[in-house]
Amino acid sequence: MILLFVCALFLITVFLGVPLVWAILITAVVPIFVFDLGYPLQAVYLNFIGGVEPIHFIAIPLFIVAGEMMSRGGVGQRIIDFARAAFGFLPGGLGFVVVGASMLFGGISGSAIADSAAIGSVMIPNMAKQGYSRAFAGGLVAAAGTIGIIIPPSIPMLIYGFVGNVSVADLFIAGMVPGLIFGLFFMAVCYHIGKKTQCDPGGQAVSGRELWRAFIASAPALLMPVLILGGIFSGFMTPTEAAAFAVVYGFFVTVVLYRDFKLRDLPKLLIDSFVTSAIVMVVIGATSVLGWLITLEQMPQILVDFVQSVSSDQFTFLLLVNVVLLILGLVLDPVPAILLTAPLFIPTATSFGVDPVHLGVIMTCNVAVGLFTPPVGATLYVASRISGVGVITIARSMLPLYLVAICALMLVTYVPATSMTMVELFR
Amino acid sequence: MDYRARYPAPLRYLSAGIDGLLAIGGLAIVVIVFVNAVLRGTAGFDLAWSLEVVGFLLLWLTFLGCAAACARGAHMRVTEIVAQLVPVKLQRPLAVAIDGIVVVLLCSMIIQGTNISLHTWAQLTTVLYWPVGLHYASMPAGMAATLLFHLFNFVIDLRDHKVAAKDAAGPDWEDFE
Repeated sequence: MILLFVCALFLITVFLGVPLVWAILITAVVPIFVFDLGYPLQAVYLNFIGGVEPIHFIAIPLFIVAGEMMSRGGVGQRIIDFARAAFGFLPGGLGFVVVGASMLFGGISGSAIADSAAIGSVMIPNMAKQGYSRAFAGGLVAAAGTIGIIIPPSIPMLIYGFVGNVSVADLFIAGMVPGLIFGLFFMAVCYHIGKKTQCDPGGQAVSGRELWRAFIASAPALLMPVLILGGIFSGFMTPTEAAAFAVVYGFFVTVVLYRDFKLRDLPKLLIDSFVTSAIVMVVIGATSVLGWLITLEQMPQILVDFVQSVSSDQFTFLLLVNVVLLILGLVLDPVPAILLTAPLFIPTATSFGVDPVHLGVIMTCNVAVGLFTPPVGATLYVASRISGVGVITIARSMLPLYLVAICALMLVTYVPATSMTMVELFR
Repeated sequence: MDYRARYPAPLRYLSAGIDGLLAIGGLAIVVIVFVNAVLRGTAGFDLAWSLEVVGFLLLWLTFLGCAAACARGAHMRVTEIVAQLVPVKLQRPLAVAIDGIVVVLLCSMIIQGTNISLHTWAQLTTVLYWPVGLHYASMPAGMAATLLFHLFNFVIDLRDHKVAAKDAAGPDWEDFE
């Protein structure tokens, strides 16, 4: 009863347009009075403060700062130049460039929105000039941009790791192959469209020297994920220290090497990044209050009993995870969707024998798909703004992309080896 | 919607002051965490006080950032459902009701947060001996600033709605003179 009440209250408040942080707090506080649970308000707010207090959360604003710095520092254009040299000769080559550049840029920024904005602003006009419809070009940018949160470093994975007490290093390594799968599936659509419409039949491959030159120009930026992941996996750095290192390295690349980022822009970048971080952090605090109530009222156990009464099959549970997150992803951004469901899903998944690392990857892939589905798809809106095409028109042109994204999601969900093989290798 | 340009001068100064704290505090966090990591990796020791200072900054920047986000109208929310499914006439009363609930919630957070801060003021942190209540004061302080911005946002929205309603009702008699 209380679980149903909490779910209903949350959905009603969110759909009525209450800002997410207050909607979650209302959802946590109101049942205390309605069901006369007797928990003091001071305990509620102590949990709220406690939710944002853990020192390792400092990695969240730091990764946001690093991503913003790389996005504003001219890294996008160099990565596009490299991807164009590498893939531009293939049928549907410009589409390949979008997907390839998004995958590379995702490894640097860790943010889908930054990814879509940086790649889209350059590539959508180019694709339109080549003869692609602006709607498809926008759709491809919106879909490919979401690979940024699957390929490490990934902010939603970082948050899942902190909230669920799961190794961030394992999550990062587990996200690499699924990110590649999504990228390859999107590239297959580009190949098909390029050949079918003949708007982008491909051309001559660039010389090895040109490819090398493009690689060298983007190498300092491409080195960043390698250094971050290397530092974490070697045990030399904690994720928090790696995040601080990413900021300093990003500063070095964009200010000293590329000289595309001006020092006078640094205060604005810090303010914007810490405001973004605060928005996420207070939602984390509110979710920890809800998580506290959920645990005290034994709601995960209720959910386990319910799912087991339907089926004790692991696959049914994973299907339920997919359906719930795909529906939530229609209206929620990745971070709140993960924050809200992780406290419920992790204990349930463990009881069904699903590795929490695998669950983290499944959840991230699910919310990534949610990012480019209407009505609330952040990358969709970014692509719409850049392309000048309406969200619904873009969504209609994306049907093949939705189809392959669901196929990739099923592959990642039901073949644990896609994410766990690399983890086992590194463990 | 970014409300800051429409705030009265004192509130604009408050907003700018919070932005300044975010920039300085943010830079301090980056420098402290990075220097600490370098010292730990190269010299084999770290700064004992760094964790406490960074923890302190994280809490304060989070709650002040919450207020800054309120001034920018930047908190995450789903607006599409109401915009498309709720009749236009009902949207304004709904927004007023939501604003009222948020005010109640913020007041409760300020009161309870102040109590938490006062009750823990005598406890001291282990390295710097700072009052624990000073850490916890970040929530009521940040929420008080958020409440201030929220109330002014509410007034600005109300004014905009009145102007829009007046425009929709047609020109005033004076307009013809």
